[in-house]
Amino acid sequence: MLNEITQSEGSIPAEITDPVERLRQLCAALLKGLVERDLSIRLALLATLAGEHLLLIGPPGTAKSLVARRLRFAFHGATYFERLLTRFTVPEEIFGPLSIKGLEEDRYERITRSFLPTASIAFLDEIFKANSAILNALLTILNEREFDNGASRVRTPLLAVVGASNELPQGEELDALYDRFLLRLHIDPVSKSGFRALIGLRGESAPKVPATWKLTEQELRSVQEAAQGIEVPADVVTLLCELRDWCVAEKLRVSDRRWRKVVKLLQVSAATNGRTRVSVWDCWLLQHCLWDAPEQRKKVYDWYASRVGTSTALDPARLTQFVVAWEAKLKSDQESRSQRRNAKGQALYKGTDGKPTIETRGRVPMIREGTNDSLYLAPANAQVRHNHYYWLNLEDRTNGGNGFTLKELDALGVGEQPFPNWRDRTAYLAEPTSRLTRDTDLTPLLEPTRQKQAYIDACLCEVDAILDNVVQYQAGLQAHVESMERDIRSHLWVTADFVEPAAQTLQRTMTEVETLLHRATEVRKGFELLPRENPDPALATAPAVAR
Amino acid sequence: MSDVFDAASLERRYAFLDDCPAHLFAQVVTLPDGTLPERVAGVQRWRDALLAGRLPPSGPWPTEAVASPVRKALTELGLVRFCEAQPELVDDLLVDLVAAFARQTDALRTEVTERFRELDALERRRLSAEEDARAQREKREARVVSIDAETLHRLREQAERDHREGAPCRRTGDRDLG
Repeated sequence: MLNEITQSEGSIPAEITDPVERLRQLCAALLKGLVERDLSIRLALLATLAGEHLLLIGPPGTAKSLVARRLRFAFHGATYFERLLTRFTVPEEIFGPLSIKGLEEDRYERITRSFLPTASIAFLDEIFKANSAILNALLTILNEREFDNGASRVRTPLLAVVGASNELPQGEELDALYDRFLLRLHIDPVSKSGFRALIGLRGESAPKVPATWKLTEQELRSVQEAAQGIEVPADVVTLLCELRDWCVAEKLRVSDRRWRKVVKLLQVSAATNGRTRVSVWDCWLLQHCLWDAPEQRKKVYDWYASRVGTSTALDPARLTQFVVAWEAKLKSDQESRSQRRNAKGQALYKGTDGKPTIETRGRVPMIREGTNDSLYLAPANAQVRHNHYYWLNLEDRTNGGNGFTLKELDALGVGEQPFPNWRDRTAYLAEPTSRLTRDTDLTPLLEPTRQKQAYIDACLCEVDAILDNVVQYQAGLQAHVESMERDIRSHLWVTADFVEPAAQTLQRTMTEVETLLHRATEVRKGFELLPRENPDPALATAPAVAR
Repeated sequence: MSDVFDAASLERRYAFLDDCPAHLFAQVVTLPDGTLPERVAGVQRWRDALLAGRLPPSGPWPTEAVASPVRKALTELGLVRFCEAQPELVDDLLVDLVAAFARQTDALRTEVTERFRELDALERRRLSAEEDARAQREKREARVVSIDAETLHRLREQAERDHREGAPCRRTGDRDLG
């Protein structure tokens, strides 16, 4: 496109063969010596490339005229016209004086040289002061780039008009004029941070733009022709459709003609950035096309930033709540205990010997309360000493249900020998049946609850549904971030103050999504590992649910 | 990517969850029966109906098989009329109702599984008999039979169909809220 033509003309220096780089350098050259006028210069150049006009709204003394004056240095042989309009401005001041010679010959013609009809770049200050005497001719020049000079309509060389005003248009008669400015920019005085640089400026020199960087009329035409072939993909169309709906809901009037011009501008943006298709990132420019009142620009921008996810990082509150619920459910299932059963399905209890049993009651050894001494039955033939000389047979082995501690057993006798001397003493004490026992309920034998296969499958399906959505979103987000890296990092018209914060915001969103994905994946793994009831027949041959 | 990436789409997809009463959120979300939007809409329908002093009409969730014991219990106990314009009472009751739906779902799932096992056993017996006969004819030892995945899938569908079409609810038919 640009380089093709210029290279063929042999006018581009070897060091800037890349047309995008050439425009970047051109922008930089125009910007030199200006403070915080980056955007106005970029938009002025873009408007001219697109064959549109730029309106600057802002208080006096904000370098509005300087933008137009500098813009002319971007073009070969540009003719420049500048005028401050008042309510009393007469057509002669804009379109040129009437030709006396023409009047003598009964022709109503103007001498247009050095006036708007012969200018390629024009700056019209206080443009909304335009009165009805000049309005129609002005609209024709802006829209058709033609001028009715007497009986004939002549082509004008106009590339772009930079209009300026301190105020918005008042009155319906100015609506058409306002609508002619596709790009609109509200200019503020320099910020506090830029003020030091402002007062450090010396003089007002013209920008030094090498002739080889300047654009020819032919190149401009080539850009506009190339832009017509730029694809407007479905994602951009979708975004524009949604934006139109939003504008309707917000009562923001955007004419059909303006929407068509917007698409053309996006195509020029893509073409001049060396792309063959419009990107959603080109749509950043829409904030400067769709407002009627300056405060609406931020609303359009906020909509756009929210839509492309650069305003704030994703706050996945609902999904997080969702995952938390499943995490709690998994924990509950993991901690759930159920009574173990044998192969016949009978409930099992922990027997007094520690082994599983289907008995619900068993006998446990008793201990003496207070001392915790083990309690025994007396041997079957135990004796008790009487008056230190005689052994009497012991009637009650249980000692009235109280049993005997070891010390109490040692006071007894067996075969008229003291218990401590009884040769079977050790074996007797080791025998479980020698212990005093009581009947007790056995403790159910618990194990982690085995879940039904169908239940686990159903849970996995639910979690998979979340995972699928998050994975799909993550893929879209990844492509979105990649397109940002590809399309916007070196974008000619999008300013740097958008790019870096936007990239950081999307990165934070990516982190949030990865966290969610990790948590949901862990939940899934947890459900997969839950103990299951005896597998149903399907498990023998059918594949398990796997991810 | 055919459509523009919509940063808010992920959360917006779950916007319907805002209709779920907060105190029932975890219960409804983690009840694996029907789809999540159906469950949320179902709970909302039951809540609205109870607040109006009546039982809700049937809906996609809970299915009639799941809901009918609850309906029966509420009708027999005459609870519904006390619910009219009593949001606190209804919200408390809904906790029990959703828990009852969960139990009933679990019980029905068990029944389907049991029916599936029965069908599986029948099919295995049939295949074994065929294999035995074949082996006898061919004078060889019978091989161990197995059921292919497609047949198993068909049997599972049959079990679900049998259950839907009125197989007696042997264990849960008279189940009450408890």
